[in-house]
Amino acid sequence: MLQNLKEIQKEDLRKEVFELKSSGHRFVTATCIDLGDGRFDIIYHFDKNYELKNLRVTIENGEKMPSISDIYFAAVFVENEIKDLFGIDFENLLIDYEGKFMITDELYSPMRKKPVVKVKKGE
Amino acid sequence: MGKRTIVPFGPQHPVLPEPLQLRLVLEDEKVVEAIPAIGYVHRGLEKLAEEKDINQNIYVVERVCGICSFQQALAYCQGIEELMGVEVPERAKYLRVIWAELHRLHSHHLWLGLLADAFGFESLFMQCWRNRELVMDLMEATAGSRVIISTNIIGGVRRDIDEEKQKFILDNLAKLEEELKKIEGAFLNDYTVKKRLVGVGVLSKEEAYELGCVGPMARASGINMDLRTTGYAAYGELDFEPVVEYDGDCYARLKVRLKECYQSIDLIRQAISKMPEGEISTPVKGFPNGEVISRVEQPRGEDVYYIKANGTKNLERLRIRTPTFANIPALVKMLQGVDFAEVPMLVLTIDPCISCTER
Amino acid sequence: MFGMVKNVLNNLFSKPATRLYPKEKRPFFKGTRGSLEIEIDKCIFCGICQRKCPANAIVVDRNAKMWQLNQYKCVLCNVCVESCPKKCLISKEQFNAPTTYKEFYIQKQQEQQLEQEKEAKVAGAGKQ
Repeated sequence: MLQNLKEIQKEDLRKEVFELKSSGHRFVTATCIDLGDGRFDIIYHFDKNYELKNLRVTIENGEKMPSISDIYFAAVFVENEIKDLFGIDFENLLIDYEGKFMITDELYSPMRKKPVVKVKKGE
Repeated sequence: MGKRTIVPFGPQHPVLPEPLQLRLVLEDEKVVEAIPAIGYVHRGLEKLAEEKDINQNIYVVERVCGICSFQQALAYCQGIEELMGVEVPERAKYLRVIWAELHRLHSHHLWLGLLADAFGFESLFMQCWRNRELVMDLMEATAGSRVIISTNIIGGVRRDIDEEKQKFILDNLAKLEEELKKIEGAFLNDYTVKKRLVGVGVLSKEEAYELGCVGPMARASGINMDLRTTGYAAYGELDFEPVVEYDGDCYARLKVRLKECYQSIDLIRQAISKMPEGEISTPVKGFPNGEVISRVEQPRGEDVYYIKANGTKNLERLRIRTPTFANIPALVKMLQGVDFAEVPMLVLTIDPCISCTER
Repeated sequence: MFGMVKNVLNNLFSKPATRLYPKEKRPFFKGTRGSLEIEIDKCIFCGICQRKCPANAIVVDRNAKMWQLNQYKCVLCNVCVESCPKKCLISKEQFNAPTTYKEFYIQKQQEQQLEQEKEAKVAGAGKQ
């Protein structure tokens, strides 16, 4: 189980992150999961004195996320990596690599789940 | 306003162990801005981990990095053991501590050699790497191969260390400690070495905390952060203090890593003397279900694993955040305002392991 | 300066720190994981080693009684050695020499061996 998990909407994200920064938390990382039915889950992890706090945001395919790279500079590389591998757009990134941070142009969002094709025996 | 040029500190450079590109904007020999670009060794291991089953994933995860491979497998196994409720026997916990500290010794000796090579002191580089052979001999005698040792499984370890091998470990560690004392004088008291390292690349304590530094970089700036004090895998029963320095420059980072070598030798001696008898693994049945985060202290810093499983034999998502990925923003900030000739050494003080960063 | 003279004299009269390879080879430790070999007569072709291999390097064919290993994919992890129910896989304590051509390591179980034994017995009985 994840400790201290809080589910929020994407409009409240910047307010929550600003509160965490003023109380002395450190940014650890962000994880993106493809839930398989057109929705994505992004979980942000913060840490203070070896205790983790997690925030979870769920968005649909095609929505844009607000970026937290002006509050925490350390988040800029993680958000660029999510943009490359999953194809989710972030607004107001401090340094924007436009999809070329880690992978080349031929691959298109390689971490998304591919649709499974079922073939019946005998066809 | 001087003349501005852009110089690529390219992916191929004699001082870098792995490819990393930095675009440096220079103004009359002083660096104004640095923009990193990675992606030269991206292998897609997170996607591969969704296609192999739970036991085969241990061997995939070990090969994320060559030097810290034992701690990667340890973090993975600890996460899955927490999800399935498996209790690891005491002797296996102590054996894991011994191999983890041997890997820390190996990594710090490799870094000391590369740093000596970066400021041109080649004979010291060769001495450090000759001492590293003593550590690799120990790993081959106890576990079977020199660099990637593959001894972790879910529920314990695969091999045991008996009395004869324990004596071999203690003899080799005594030899290693003597050699370290001879080298320490050359690193810490030499006039030219000090001229190149003191006062270069200073990070204050608030900046280091805000940029998310981990590992020896954070401990050299005064932050007392070491995940081994939370007590995973028999560290709770051993007696040690994290090594902290307060200056924040390259010389402080060198001192932190040298003192950690002595601390590792001491931890291995304590673990060998306190190890109880018993089994080395418990049998495991069934599949895991749920999500968990497990964290481990690697030689380079804090390593975070996020595992999500859904009750079948494949995992749904495996996410790895390695310590070098967290130290890169600090590198970008540290490079502003230094001379061009000091860039290779500053890149090496964060201990870059780019194959971990890109997986 | 005198420390330096002592160092120089020491280095002149002691033996070299390196080894004259290939005349003198370094002995491997006991328990080193080397390359893989199979005793084909004990194998029952159950296929457990094929399922457990993390690198997909083993192919087992039950009908043709053949066991094949792709040595260039094998990572020497020894999971197959530990999980074989008949203990017929051995890991030698050295590595294979380098070659100039790629070849798989294939072993087949011989069925004609039983017939050859029968013929030898009959021939031996006839001679006497």
